[in-house]
Amino acid sequence: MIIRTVFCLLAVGASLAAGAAQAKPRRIVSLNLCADELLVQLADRDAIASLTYLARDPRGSTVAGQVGGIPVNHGLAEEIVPLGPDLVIAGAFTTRTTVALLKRLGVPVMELDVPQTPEAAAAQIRALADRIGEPERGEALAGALLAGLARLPPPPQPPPTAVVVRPNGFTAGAGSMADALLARAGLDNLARRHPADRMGQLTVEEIVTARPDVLVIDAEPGAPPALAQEVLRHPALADLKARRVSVPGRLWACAGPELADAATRLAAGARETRP
Amino acid sequence: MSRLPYPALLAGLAALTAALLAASVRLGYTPLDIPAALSDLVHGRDSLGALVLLQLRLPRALLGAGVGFSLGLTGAVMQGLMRNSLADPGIVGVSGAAALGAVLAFYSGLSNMFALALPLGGLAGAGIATALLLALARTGTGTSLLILAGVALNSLAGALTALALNLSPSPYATLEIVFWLMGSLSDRSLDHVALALPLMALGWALMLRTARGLDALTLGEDTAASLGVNLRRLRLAAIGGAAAAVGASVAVAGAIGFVGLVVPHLLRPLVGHRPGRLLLASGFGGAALTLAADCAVRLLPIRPELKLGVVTALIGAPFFLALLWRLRREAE
Amino acid sequence: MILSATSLTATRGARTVLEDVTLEARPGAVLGLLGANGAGKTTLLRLLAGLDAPHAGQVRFDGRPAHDLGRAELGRQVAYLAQNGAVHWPLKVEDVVALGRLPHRAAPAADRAAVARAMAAADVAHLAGRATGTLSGGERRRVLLARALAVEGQVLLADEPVAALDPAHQLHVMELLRQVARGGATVVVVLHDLTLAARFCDRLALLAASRLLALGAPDEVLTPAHIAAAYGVSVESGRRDGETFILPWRRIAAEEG
Repeated sequence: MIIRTVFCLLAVGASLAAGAAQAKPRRIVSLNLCADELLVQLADRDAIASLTYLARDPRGSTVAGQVGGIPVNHGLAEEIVPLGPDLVIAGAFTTRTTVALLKRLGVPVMELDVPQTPEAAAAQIRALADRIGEPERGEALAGALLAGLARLPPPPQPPPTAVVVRPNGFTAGAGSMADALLARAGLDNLARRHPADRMGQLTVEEIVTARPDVLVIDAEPGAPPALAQEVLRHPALADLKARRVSVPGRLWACAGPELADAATRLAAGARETRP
Repeated sequence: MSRLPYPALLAGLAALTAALLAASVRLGYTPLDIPAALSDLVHGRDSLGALVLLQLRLPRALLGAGVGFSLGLTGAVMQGLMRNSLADPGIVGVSGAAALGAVLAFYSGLSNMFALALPLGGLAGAGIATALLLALARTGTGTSLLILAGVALNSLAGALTALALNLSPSPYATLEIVFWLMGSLSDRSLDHVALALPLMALGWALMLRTARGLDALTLGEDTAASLGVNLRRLRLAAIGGAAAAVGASVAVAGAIGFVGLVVPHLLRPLVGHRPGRLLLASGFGGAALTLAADCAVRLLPIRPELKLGVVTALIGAPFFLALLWRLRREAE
Repeated sequence: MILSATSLTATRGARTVLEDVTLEARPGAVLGLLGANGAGKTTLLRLLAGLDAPHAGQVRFDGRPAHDLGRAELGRQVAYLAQNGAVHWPLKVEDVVALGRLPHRAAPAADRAAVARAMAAADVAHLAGRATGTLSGGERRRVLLARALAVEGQVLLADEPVAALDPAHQLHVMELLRQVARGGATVVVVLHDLTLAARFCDRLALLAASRLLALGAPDEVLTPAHIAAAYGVSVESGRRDGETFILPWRRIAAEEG
């Protein structure tokens, strides 16, 4: 059994190595939700061989409604290899063992890192589009993102303060995409001044004492019950006289035009705090 | 050995609990002017200090005291009832079963529909486990049987808890098993106090009524019955009380281990080994130990803070081994 | 308080462990329960104490059934000394004896006086401050007897109170039981020693195979024929200072049937 699998893997690897790498890939596999979302928007549908199972979950995915019928994977090498992919898109930090195995077999792998600014996100969109031979679509998508950000209203002066509260008390510190979007929206991210610990977690007491004008709640209404969500519902936050802006994680977790939506929501919140 | 008079011992333990309660309120992650906050609170002024005090510091301290009192008292009651000094709600699986009950109520969304489902779920789990154990260990002193039953109950409850969390649709659920198995008091709110404290108090009232019966049980069930003790009612009060107190505690703070083992054992010589007098003393002792451990997790420079159960296990597990060691030597 | 049993029958599972026993114990007298191992002595004593309910028949205290008195009153009136008296925690001796006062809810001074009397009577006053874990077997038995005495009830039921005691303390305890009876209490005691039974009991009940074989004065009950039937032994006996002594001498083949 094991021997047969190895033979199979070797055979696939050999055929892939022999195939023309320059041609437009026709059997693209994604191992990462962010890659799922970009592929759905950039690639021909019949060029996508498989997406992650997360792409179908409307709570985390922005493309859940468009992926019906596309096979899904759970990031396991045994699932990926038989698909005979001519390009695998993976996250820079996830499914490392699978990626290592695929690389050893000679499967072309493109790794996406986590962009920390909208510009980096636009660059990532263009790079992926180029790699799959769809530069025009990439340019359009990146342009939509940057145009959306350009349409943001001018920031109020002085900028209102804000803290991002995510499940389990995680916040968005300096150098994160959320921090960059807060700045674009005209909000002063208190977590920059109030250095959180390594994990980026804040206690409710620290959040309350920071006295933010705006609480950016990274929560999904109707999320399944979890202790992680309890922080967001803590009565001390409710009693805090701060404006709450709800930005679901799927809007700012990945490079994509939805980042502009997140920034728009933040900007709206920022402007309502000051008369 | 000169013995401290019982009222003095109780007063001392109560004072220690009060002092640690105050220390717990003082300890936080941000500076807080407590007199000012208190004055704001009393005068109904809507200040940040009052908010932090009322919604964060006080709930944490009160829950620490309540959970600790419950665990210490329950340990003393179970040890008296089973006449076995190793009967601790954590070791024999009662806390684990309570966690399972609370987990089912919480992750199924039942507690979203009506909040009381959470402590009641814990109560149901703890009640079933206690009744089961007592059925096994009624004749007393069967240490190996009791511990084996505890191992079985603990692993079953732990496995089912893990299963329930894995089946939960929330991406966070699987990580939260640590909370349920180790316990924590961080970021609890006044809502949790309101939810758990009445049920705990009911459990305390039931358990404190067992003092005379437990004293009589020192001489065995027959002699106790001949002294007019209603054994059936005694067992019901002990099981019901333990289930209510531990169930409510675990539902809001997770399963904090070893408090019910260490505290009664340390205090037993100070009350002349009398099971009845051990009850209130162990309640206060448990409150003091839990509050101290909860202060420790905030003082330690480890962030995110350690789970409370980690600290009590660091104290309790070596203690448990030492106790087993001594029991083994006595058996030889 | 007259303790009377009428047609008592007890079962354990499908087995009948006591069948149709009728007897009466009166204030001022010691009633001895005799019989071989498994004859039903402890079963009978537990029924008399109200610890178990009989399968059939009735136990009455001055004509009133046990449930009529209620649990608390029964606790105050009937002291029960169990056969295997365990003390599960290393309590101090005086605290163990004080447990006998549990049903009373009397004034602390009255309780303390009763405890002191009981400890003095059972010859354990000098052990008052000791932990029970440090006592010898005989000392512990006497402490538990003192606990039963401390109840100061109208009925004292003692299951083998002299087992594990040295000869001097056996005599001491039997004298004490007689003294308690003379003080007006109803005493029922399970014994294995035929001489002690003959000398210290006013009446005897001899059980054999779950039934009452003989009931009456010691001389009527402890006949060689009864003893052979109940225990399967022959005895040597004699009299000294007007009192009977009986020694088990040889085992005899049990009559089948």
